[in-house]
Amino acid sequence: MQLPSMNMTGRFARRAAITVASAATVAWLPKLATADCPGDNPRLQVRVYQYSGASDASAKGRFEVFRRLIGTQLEDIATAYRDQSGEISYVTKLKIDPPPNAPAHEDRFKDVEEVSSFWRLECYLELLRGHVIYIKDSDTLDVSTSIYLGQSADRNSWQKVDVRFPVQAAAVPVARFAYQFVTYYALAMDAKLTHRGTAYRTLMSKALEAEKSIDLRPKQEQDQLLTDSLQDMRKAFDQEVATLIKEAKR
Amino acid sequence: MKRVLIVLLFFVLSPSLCFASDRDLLKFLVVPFDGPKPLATSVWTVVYLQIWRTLRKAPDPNPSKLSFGDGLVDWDEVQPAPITADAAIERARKNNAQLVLWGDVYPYQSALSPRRGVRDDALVQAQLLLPQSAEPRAAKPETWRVTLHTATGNDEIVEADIPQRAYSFDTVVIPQTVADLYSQPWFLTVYRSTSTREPIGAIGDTFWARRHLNEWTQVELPGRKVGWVRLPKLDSSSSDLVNFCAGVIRAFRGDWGGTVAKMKLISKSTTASWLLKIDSYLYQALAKEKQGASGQDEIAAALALNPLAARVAIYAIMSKLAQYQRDKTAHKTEAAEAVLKQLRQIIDRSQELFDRDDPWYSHVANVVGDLK
Repeated sequence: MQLPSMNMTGRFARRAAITVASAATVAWLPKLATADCPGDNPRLQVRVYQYSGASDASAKGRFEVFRRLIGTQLEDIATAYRDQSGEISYVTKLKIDPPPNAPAHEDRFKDVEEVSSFWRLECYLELLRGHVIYIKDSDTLDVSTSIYLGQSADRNSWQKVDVRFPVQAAAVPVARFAYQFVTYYALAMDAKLTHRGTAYRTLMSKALEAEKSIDLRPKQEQDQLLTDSLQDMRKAFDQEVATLIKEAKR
Repeated sequence: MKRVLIVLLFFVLSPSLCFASDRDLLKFLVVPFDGPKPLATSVWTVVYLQIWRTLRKAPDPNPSKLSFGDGLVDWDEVQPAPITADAAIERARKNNAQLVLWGDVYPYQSALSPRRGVRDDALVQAQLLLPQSAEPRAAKPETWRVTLHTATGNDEIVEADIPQRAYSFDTVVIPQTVADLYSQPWFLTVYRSTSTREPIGAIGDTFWARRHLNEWTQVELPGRKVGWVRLPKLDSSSSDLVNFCAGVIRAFRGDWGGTVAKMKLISKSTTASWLLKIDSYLYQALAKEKQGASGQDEIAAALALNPLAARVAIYAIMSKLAQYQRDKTAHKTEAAEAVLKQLRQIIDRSQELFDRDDPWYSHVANVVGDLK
């Protein structure tokens, strides 16, 4: 099954794309072939591709703002552990590829199979692809991202989650918390699969703080940004956290 | 290099900028924000002045005649560029600053509504670092220390550091209407008085705050010249970022009442992140314990928000240790025994949040094992 074309434009087309993509995610869940991220090496790189639709100067500018905001957030995750020793300290090696001030990678994937193979073979924590859409009603731009990341089942299972980026400045924190939540959860799942128990709990704890921060924002801002696939991921995460809390209280 | 010195009610005795010693001084370095000029400079000026407005040398009223020493909000004029955490720490080290704030500014169009159109605002993405390496101060009031009398007859000390040393704040929106009022701090007009509004010059690059009065601040300039600066709309756009930085500064200066006041704004804020709320409760707990009261309500609030965070577990353990010692000192033997039981339970339950060989956890577990 293939993703709908990334070149679709218009609000309704985008919504349709997200809905189809969410359904498609379920179909992609079957495990893929060989183990490719060697041994217990953690996944610590996030790769960003040039988004479709970011062709004219205005769209390019908005895309670069998005990259800076998301890029600094990922760098901040690494910075948060810079003074810490012990198991969690490996997270300081988290990198964004390319750095926010360098041109993004060209997106040449033909289909989802290619994306998934690349994710497995190159040992990335996340791959970020997306599109920028002009919204005529408000004369603004909207950025949507598909994040490809792992699952807690095993190191070769992957999933896709869609995150939107806002047209209003006030809604930027929700988007940043959403990206932060997804990244912390991706790191946590990988830590669990690579047998880093303390790091797993620490990263789940951080993911929890990011996830709960989404709920603090006005519902109107949340509704603009939260996609079905992200909400599904939150449900899975909440269950995992509940289990951890239950274990801690025993 | 331009530098601004802002010390509440601090009087300079000589023309040079003298302090007793860096060992007595808290320094907060605000690196100029990166972004398109002049917007980035204006936004940086707004945030800088907002933090400056929160400094105080003593509470008001001050029946206990407290003094929190000298505070300095400082900047260097090195080109901002997108700096890394390592570069920020290096700047903090060179400036002997305990806290360093830096950030990026993005012009951002806010779509108000189809009718009202689009407004250009500024988004600020700021980071705060409190590096352990840059620490010339002799006293560190923000360290939580509990001394315990163990069964072996020895005194054992357990210390806890501040909750975290790196923060990435939520993006803050600075309305263009506010940013436009502040081009650079040193361009602010100084007036003879708030009523006559007779200008007596620009503020320059060195000034001391004496007191704040609504949107006015009384300043002292070199040569003992005194005047007032007007800072309109500044407090109205104040943010969780500013309140949190102010709360941390106050904790670092041992201003515990002031810490609680600022951190309460965060815990009650409708916009602060979960992370900031948790840490605001922990700072409130620290402040209350430093004043001899129990911070357990605040720690319970932090635990309710995140029962999986090691930093919350550390503060929960510290609070119980302090309670145990208070009960012991007051010869409340039964109460102390009950607290000790709870303490052992918390230590057992939080074991998985720490590395197996975590030195802090191992030390606490050993010390508590020796208590009776």
